[in-house]
Amino acid sequence: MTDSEHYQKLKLELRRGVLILAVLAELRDEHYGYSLRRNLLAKGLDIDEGTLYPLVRRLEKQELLSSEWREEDNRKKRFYRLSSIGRATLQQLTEEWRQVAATLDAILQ
Amino acid sequence: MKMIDNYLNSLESYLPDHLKQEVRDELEASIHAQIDDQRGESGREPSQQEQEALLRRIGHPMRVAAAYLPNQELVGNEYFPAYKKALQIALSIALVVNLLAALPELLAGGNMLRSVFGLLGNLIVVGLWIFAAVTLIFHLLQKYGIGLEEIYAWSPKDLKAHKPGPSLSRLETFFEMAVETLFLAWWLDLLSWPESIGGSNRLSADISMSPEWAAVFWSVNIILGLSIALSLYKLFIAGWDRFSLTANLAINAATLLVLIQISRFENHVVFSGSGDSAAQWAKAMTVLDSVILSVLAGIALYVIWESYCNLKEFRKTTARAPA
Repeated sequence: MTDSEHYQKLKLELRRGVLILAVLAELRDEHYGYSLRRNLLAKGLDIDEGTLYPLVRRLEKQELLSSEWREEDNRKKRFYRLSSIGRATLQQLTEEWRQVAATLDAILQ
Repeated sequence: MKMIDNYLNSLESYLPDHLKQEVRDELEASIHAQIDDQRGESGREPSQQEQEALLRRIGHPMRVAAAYLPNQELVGNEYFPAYKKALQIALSIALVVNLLAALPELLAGGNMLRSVFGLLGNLIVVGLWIFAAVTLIFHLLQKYGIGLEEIYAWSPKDLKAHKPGPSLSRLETFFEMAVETLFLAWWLDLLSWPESIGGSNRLSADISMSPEWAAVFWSVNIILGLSIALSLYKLFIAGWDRFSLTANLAINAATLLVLIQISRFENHVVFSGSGDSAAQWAKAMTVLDSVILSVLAGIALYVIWESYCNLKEFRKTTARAPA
């Protein structure tokens, strides 16, 4: 494996760690799959559908999200939003993230 | 959009029935939403290449489907170390049991080559069954989330003191002992060798070892006997120490000398052929001689490599020893 491949792997690992928090935070507003991806991409986080959709389904199975099918523009779309458990979890994870970020800043100085 | 339909059909084929429709619907909506966006930006239908690029970015249908499914591993990270250890132990026991069970047949006489190949075949079949059984057991343990705490139950007080020095592979040592014992048994004529080869009366020949082998009869006996004794010693002390390393180096040196002596024989095997093809058998003798020399060379290379490894370990052990 080349250095650049090593780096890409490490970068992916780092980003993977923040995906769940990013998705939960974005779903404070209701989204369907594509609009969720588009919003995250606009804010600088690129996730492919093959990763994002199974992730939101897993979060729904864990009762962090709820979903419903609606028809829009003649197409069936599945809209996701945070559940009450999801909201509480997001708050806890946000706090955890802030602590981790502060710790890491101190280590990186 | 035939390519997109094909992609979604392929994705469905990897999913269980209860997920097929909703996963398809969700992904189809996403794909068409992207196409609508592209159409809005470019003012035209996306080309074949653009559709292909879009589907490639989503990923292989099999991988995308797998992401929707629960644990896909036969044996995952948590159980794997215990699984690996269980497999090693089970295969070692099977190897020893099969070798012991095969000994009576091997020692009873008959075709040694056939017996050895039969034993090897048996070992492979038994090994595969054990691999399947242990893998299934650990897969089920993992699936139902049971046994993890029991498997890794431990206390620092119960850990054995580690002997300094190079570690020993018990399996490798057992295997070496088994091979040396079988060879010694054959050497001492406890096992038989096919004396007559050839099917019909017209092409028969008697094959035997040349009388030159008598010169190394006792050397080989002593070397093999000492090697087997050393293996037992290593198993007893569960490792290597300076004495066993030195002894092994000495045995290897003696082995090399004997191999050199054997390689200098004029003939290794003797054919006494009869019938129309005596000349053919004489030619075969030359070929067989070359094969024997190649085998001797292979053994010599292995002995040299093992001696080099032993010497390295000996130097490390000497460096580690207290002054």
